[in-house]
Amino acid sequence: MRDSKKALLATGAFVLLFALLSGAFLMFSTPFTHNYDWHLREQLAGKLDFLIVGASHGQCALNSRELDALTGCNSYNLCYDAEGNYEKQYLLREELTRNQIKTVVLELSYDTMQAAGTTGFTDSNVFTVMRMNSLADRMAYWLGHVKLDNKLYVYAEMMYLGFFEWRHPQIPFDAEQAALKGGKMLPGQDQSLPDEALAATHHENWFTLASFREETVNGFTDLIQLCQAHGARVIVAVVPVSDQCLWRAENLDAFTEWANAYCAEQNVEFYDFNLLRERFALLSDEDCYSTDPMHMSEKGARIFTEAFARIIQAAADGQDVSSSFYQSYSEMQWDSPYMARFQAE
Amino acid sequence: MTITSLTFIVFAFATILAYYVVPKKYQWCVLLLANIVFYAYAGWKAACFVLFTATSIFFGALGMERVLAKQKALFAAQKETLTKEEKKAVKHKNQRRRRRIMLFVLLANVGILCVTKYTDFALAQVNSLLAALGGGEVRYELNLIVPLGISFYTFQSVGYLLDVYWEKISPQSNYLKFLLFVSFFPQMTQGPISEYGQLSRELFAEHPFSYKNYSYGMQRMLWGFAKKMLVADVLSVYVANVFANYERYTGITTLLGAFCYAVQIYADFSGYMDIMCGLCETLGIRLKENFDRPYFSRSIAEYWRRWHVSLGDWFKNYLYYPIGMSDWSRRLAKKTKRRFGAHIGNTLPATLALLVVWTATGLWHGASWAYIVWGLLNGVFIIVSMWMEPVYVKWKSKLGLHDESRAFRAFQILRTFTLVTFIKVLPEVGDLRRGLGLWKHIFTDHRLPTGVGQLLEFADTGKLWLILAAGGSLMMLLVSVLKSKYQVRDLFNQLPFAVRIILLSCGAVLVAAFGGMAMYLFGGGGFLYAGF
Repeated sequence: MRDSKKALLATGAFVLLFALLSGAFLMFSTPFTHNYDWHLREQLAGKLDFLIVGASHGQCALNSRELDALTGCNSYNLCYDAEGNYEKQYLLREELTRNQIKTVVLELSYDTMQAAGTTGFTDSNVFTVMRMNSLADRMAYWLGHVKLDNKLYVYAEMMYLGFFEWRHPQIPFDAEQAALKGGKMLPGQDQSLPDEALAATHHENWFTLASFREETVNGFTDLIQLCQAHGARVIVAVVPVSDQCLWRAENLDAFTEWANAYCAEQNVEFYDFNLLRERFALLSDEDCYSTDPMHMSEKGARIFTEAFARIIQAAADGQDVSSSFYQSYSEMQWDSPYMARFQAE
Repeated sequence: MTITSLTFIVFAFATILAYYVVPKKYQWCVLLLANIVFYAYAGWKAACFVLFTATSIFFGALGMERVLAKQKALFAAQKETLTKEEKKAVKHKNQRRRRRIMLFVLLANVGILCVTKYTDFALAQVNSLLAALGGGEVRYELNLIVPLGISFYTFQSVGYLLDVYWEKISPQSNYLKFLLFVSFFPQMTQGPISEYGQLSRELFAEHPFSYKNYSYGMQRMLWGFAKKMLVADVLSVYVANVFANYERYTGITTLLGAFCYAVQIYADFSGYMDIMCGLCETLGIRLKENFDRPYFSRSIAEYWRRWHVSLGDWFKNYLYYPIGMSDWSRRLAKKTKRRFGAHIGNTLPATLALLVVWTATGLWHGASWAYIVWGLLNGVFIIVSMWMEPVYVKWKSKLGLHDESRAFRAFQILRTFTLVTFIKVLPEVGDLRRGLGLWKHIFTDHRLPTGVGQLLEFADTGKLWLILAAGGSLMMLLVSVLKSKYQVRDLFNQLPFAVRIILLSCGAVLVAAFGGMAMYLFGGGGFLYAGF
């Protein structure tokens, strides 16, 4: 064999093996995982009484530190990017078992129930593998739960992280990250996005009842029942997205109708904070959302957490909070600055 | 560009690929281009200094050559008419011209080195003197940048200038090729300081791709990364702890910290050399080796022939020999030989030359009294051994000690390693006073550690890192021991292909995972010798 061919073969074999081993190393080495919050949760075990469960919208919108200061609870934000129901259940079960949880907020996005690969809500992802406590759990999850066609994808993600992110292992959080307890602080965008950019970040026609997946709805129901079995108050909440982003979706009233009926059936509270009457006064598109207008910025999260705490406390005190919300999106659109601009154009 | 970064690895692979893709006669152009990219990362200010050095020395050397060429032409043209005396006079005149050119260029370049590196130190000494005399002070805030690798490339270029002056080599007439010689990136920041004759042969030759070179080079790079990232970077934390707070630790613990420093600096410097020599090996270029298992030396003099070999060679060729072979040195040798005998006659001029060399070596390493004392201490040990040699021979014969006996060799190695370690730590603790304080502490604090925990009190990074650093150090020791009898690299490459790839991949994962994390946690990445 020619020297150059030999060299190519050796380099290829080395890189492939290096990537495979990197992935395995990441799975096997608990303290060096990319998304390292199990250590913090372990430290807080037995002390938590308030949980927030969901995906990236919830992670960016609800600030545990603020929530604790406002309500006197000890909360933890378990949300993470594209977290699926299995992962949510895994983390929730663990925290419900080792803490006396009084309240659980289940963050519900419009596309949660139609979660599919295209929306980024794959049923399993690399971050979940890494949030699990033990090698046994990680292996069981990867072997047992991750679907066959996704197994390689998840492993490839681990190889990718192993290969490129050795330099950035998130070893124990610093004081600020620890105080945030699971939340994520994003910078504000400081300006409205141009329409083309908006279109690029937006899921067109992202919501249709027909595209709901039964197994996803059932999984969500399981989450509610798990919380109820542990005697926790369950709040299903939709957190706001920016005004400019919101109206690109259609059928939002149908979603609210479905969610109200579903939550009533499950005997849990439901609040769509997109319909909060104060939203246009409190949450400006310019600085309360991140460069991705679907997620809140640090400032937005601080303001929203305060409003959120006020509403759920009032509800807990037996007050009727329905007057704090618009009845429907059709009603709300007349107050929307974006829709006003859109209609003017 | 940090050598232990993904950027460097990508850069290295891109260079290798481009080097073998272009026609062979343009391979050196790829290296020059790689130098430019490497410098772009370091900042253009530093590149200006290199350009000045390269340009001044290039034209200085050509100037000297032109004088010689004119002289040759004159002698050829007037072969019959010129008398012997006239020829001698022309030669003398031209020699003076050449010396003027050489001195001008030499002083300009050494001047830049001195100004950038030693101005602060010199002004601080002036201020101390003025304060002692009750005078004012020289106010200064120069904040001069010390250009990347200036100590290394200046010495290498000055070596070239002197070689041309001494007519050992012909000057390079292609400016770009000379620029490549001065600024060759693998040796820019920490050497080796190469001689033109040797390096130019390697740089400008055509190198066909060879699998052996490629695989051996890559393996050596990985070994270098392991030394640097798994051993040096982790030990640096322990060493910093001990040096900053040695008063807190027992004498034995402090001594252990000093030994850790000896291992750290070796892993750091030789790790860099392995990375760069490995990279050059993949290109078919052999760089001068800078280390030859230095901690197995049996005397300080031998140690300095095996540690930072290229610097030792430079001082030997361009400072020690010129002083030792000078007219006044020969006259001194003659006189003292006549009066005090052969031993003193031979040793005294060498002693004076050694004192100059070791003061310069100390200053080269750093602008501080601690480094000057460090250099002189090395020199004093070597000089004393030289003077005492006849006495040692007598003692050894009386005690029945044989140089080749295992026990005596082990004693000599251990003694030299300990001495070298003590000398090494002196300038590294902070300043001379603290360095001497650390020595005193080792000898006067007789507390015994209550257990392993207290003995290794400085190792506050957790067991995992301690095991890694200790394991890595032992591995280095094992390889050094094996190297005395075997060609370790050949042995490794006799393993089946699959086994080699598996071992290398596992090693790479260890280095990437733990080395990367060590950098993240302990902030490693910088090299000790890059600061000299």
